[in-house]
Amino acid sequence: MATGMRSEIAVSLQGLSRTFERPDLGVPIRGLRRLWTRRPTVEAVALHPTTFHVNAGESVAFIGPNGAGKSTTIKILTGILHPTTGMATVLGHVPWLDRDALSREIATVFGQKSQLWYHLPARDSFTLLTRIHDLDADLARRRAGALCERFGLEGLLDRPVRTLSLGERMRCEVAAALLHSPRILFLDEPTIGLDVIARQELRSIIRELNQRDGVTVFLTSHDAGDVERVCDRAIVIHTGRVVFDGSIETLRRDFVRRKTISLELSSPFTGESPIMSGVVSTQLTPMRWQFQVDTTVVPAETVLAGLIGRMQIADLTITDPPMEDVIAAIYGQASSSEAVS
Amino acid sequence: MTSVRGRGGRGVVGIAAYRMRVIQAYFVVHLRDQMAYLGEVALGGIILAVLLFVLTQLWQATFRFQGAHTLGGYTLAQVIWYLVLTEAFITSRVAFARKIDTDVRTGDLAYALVRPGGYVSAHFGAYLAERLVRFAFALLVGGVFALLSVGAIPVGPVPLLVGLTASLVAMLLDFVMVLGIGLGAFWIEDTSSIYLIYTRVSMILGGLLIPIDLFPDTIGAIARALPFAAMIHGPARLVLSSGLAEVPGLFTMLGGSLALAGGLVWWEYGVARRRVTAQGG
Repeated sequence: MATGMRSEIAVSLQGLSRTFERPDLGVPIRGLRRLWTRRPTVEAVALHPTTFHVNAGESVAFIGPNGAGKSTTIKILTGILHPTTGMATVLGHVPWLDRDALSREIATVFGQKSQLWYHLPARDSFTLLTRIHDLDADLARRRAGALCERFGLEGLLDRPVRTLSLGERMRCEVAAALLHSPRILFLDEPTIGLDVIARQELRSIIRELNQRDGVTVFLTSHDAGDVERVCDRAIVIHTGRVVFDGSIETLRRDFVRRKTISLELSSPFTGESPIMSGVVSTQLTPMRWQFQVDTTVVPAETVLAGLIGRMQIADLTITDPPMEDVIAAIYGQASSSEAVS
Repeated sequence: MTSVRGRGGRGVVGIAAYRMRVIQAYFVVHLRDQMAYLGEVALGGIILAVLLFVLTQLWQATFRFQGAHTLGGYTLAQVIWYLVLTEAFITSRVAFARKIDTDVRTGDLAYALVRPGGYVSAHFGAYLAERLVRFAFALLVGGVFALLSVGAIPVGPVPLLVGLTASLVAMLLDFVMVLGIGLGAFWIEDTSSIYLIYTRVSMILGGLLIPIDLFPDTIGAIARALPFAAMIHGPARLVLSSGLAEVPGLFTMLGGSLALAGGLVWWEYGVARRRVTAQGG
């Protein structure tokens, strides 16, 4: 878990939890009794007591399957929702008590919700946002100019938003969200629906904001590329509990205990395919082999030592599983635990 | 890059001034947005012209049938100009209750509440822009129609000014009522039926098609006791009248209704906000 000086903490959760009461639809209430009978409720836990901190300037991926508690956490952190127990601070503000002040220091970008006016040029939305954030007009104009230059928005701002491609629109959305110089950027599925190029552009913009301007990034996404290319740290949540909090490298290395050993041979291997418990071998070409090693069964070093003695190796690489597999494993684990419960 | 973080406004006056700037900003943006819908506004003008034509035929027939020069103190020309004013008020209505209803049910309200400036301010700025454009256009179309069909009538500048001011207050009252209906989505499945009832009741008891002076006594008394008559009939009658005797009563009714409805909707909005923070989007 990341730690740091108190003054450097941007987001802090201490035993934060949230439960909801839902009508118990299993209890039948028939006829006119519906008019005066209050249906019994059942308690549903959206977020178990959760503690973590995010330091200023960090770039954190907050990931988990649908229904894991991501949205609940973000809603609490942006001041939309009250927690049931615990405490949270964002930039020193208690979000649900100090929502207005907080909204001037944070920005939210939701991939499926636009804050730009559909029929108007994005420039008009920028003007409106300048007013609602009560910014100095000259400074805001300079800031907008700098953002446009950086995000390559020249020529886009004067076109009605409806005529922009989704990628162009999302660049405008992020620029609009940054107009008031937020210190934290909350992003919820920012690249959803974008093509490969637009995704890459947006990721590099967010990455640059974090690394160059020190904007703290708190990102939720189901896209492995977003997590990998934008964030240094991941917090994995499922069924309302944080199940992993560490670096992206550690997540990839430790969450899925599997490594891939790829070999380039200097001469073809003619012997029998090496059989080892916990290892799946694949001959790609006579000179190229690949071994999927389940490191919970056998360490990669042991497998490698066995291979070096049997094969003429020209080159070898050992890779962690791709982030897609890691996320799939996280989600799979969530599904299986749901099935068990 | 330069940091430009704003503050919002301090103290009651500062916050009020800030809210006014926010409303103005939304107003300006939505005014521009309306330009993208000029075709829709123009189509509304054509429909209004057709409606006024039909109503004019009906009133001409009524006056002919009665064989009278005036009915309830109104000449035919005055009735047609009355219809222009009441129809302009009604056809310029903005059905933003549906938008609030959708915001509540989809959870977008929660995200909107996070923005500085206020959810109600945003809706009010947008409402004013849309409503005033439609109202002005309806007055223009209706005015041209009335001029061509029954000609001009004498109207004093003061009653005209006071009548239009009353219409603006009535629009504010209408905004508050529609806001209250839209926020009803927190408690009921769908508010469109309530909005439909509200619009129909206000049309009938507000004197949209028939001046309330021509209503039977009992129904007329009921209509006058409700705010709808002050919203629709009152300003139109004021414009057509030669004096200002009805001004205090009209503004008392509008002001009282606004205070009452405003208080109720303020309370409702407070409960709704707590529900959002308690139950989420």
